[in-house]
Amino acid sequence: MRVTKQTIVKDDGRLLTYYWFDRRPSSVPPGTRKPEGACKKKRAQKTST
Amino acid sequence: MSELRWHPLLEQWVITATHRQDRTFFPPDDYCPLCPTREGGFPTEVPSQDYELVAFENKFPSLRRCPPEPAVEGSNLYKVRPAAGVCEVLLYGPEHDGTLTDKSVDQIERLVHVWTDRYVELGALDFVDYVFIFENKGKEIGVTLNHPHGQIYAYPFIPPIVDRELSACRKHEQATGNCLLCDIIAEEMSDGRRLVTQNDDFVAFIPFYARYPYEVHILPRRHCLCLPDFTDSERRSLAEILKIVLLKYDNLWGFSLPFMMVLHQKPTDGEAHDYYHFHIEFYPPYRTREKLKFLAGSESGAGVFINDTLAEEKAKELRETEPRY
Repeated sequence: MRVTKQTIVKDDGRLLTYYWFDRRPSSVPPGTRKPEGACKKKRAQKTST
Repeated sequence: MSELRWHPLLEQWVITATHRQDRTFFPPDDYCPLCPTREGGFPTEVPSQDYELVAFENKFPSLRRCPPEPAVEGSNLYKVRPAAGVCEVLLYGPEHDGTLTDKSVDQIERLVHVWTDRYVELGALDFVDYVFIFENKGKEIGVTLNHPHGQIYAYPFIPPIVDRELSACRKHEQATGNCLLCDIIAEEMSDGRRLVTQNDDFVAFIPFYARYPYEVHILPRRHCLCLPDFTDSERRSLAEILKIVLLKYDNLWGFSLPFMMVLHQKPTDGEAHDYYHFHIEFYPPYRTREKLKFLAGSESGAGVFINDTLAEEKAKELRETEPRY
């Protein structure tokens, strides 16, 4: 199954991710500002998921 | 205001999130904030209609990527920490009506793919130790928006129930060399009285130790720890067995059965947790067609569930309920 996803940033800064399967979206959804790096609390001990 | 407060007696975190008091509560159907924004209409949470599934961060989150500092000062006894994490809403589609039961197996399979992707993406965040995927369905469970959706909480700690399961699985493996949940599957298959349905890859049963009358658990036969461990074929099988369990629930009494559906999988804290085993648990609140099971004094105050029914009898009821459309 081929998955296409696109993450946008909403006006208030929240992230939103659209998903499509086995097809491309017919148009680029509005609000397509690319997410910037979210603030993270770095923790050295996490090595993998 | 949002923060984590340590409960020193139960040794677990409590999330305070006072802003959630203002969250949307059963808006009229034509003002659903989860429907796609229509041209000339009021702005909703989802700007586009052209999508199959969508996940977005909750407007009233209990946990935030960039949480504020705690509003109160902690102490050695009363520890506090910022409520770091992510709370997402996962819409099953643009359509306002219906439930997960009404989705096709293809659509549920796509949901399983999105669950997997969210687990991987959120679990990779440094401050996330556990990705908890769940659905609250029905007003009896406290749902405030009807549009079919689930939720994802990415916690900065391993939640206490999962932590107890991990501990039990670890001890069982040390004592026997076996996975506890693999042994539970073998015991349920051998007995057979509590089986609800099964396919090549998954088994659904009401466990011997069920706390709710119609508490169905779905487990992969193969020892898989989390969603990314599944093959595409297994993801399809999971969608198929989910569809059957959901149909059985709704056909049991002829109405859409409310439930909590929770996914338990390995934490994303960087440890292996090889002794754990993915599973889905359903907790429907009904004990008969008309009567709800409440979490009352014994359950809430002592942590002791009293199940007024026998898992063997309830499983037989569900087994004999046709999964018809």
